Amino acid sequence: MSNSAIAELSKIPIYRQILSSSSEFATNYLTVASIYKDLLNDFNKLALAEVEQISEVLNKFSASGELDKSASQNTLPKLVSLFDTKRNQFVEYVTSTIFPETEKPRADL
Amino acid sequence: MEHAYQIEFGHSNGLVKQGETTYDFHDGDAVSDEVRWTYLQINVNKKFGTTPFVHYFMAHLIDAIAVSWIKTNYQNSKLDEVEIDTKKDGALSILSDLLCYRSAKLNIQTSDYEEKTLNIWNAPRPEGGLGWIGKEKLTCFTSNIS
Repeated sequence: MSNSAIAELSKIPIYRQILSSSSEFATNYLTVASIYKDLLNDFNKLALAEVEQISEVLNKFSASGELDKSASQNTLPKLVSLFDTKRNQFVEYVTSTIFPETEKPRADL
Repeated sequence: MEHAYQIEFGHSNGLVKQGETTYDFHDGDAVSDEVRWTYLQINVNKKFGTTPFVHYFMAHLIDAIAVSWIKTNYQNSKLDEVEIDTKKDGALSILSDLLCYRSAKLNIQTSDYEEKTLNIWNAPRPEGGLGWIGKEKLTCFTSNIS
């Protein structure tokens, strides 16, 4: 992680605690956050047909007797249904919080 | 204090034991009582190192942020209507299901780091992983999606 990125993140209270906790933790943070940012963006782009596929698999898994908390809740399809047109807002909110922009365009350029 | 999070990190020889913690979570203060507390006990090994701790924090942080957004944007009655549970860890299943789906659909070849993430979620805690995605669930996805 670059010094500028650390400096930018340290302005935000929740990251200040992370960055002060462990150098290894801080170094890994942005790398790990990026994969979850990608996953959430995938969630945003999931077509309804894909959501239906996931729902069917989760139903089969639940019915198989190998019950699992997340599978039984079938949460991903439910959230897509709930969010409807707000799915994009949800993902933007979460990703901007976990992964704030560290290099913003300079207004004087 | 929004999205504040406290995690106790434990390991096989550490202070934290399953079902026990050194912290008293609630003291009646409305703000601090909203802080999430959790702990993680896994066996750190050479394969994953301490990276699972970062994933543990990251995933729970996302869940906390997601639940906050959901509660802000939807009435409880609407959540009840679609049977959405906003209790702790509910939104984690988004990430769990996406990892399984992408593994089945893309054979996880697109991202080396994503493959490592799936491995961390899939590996049992005694083996240094988080143990959040069981073999049976992953197999169900790979068997039913091609």
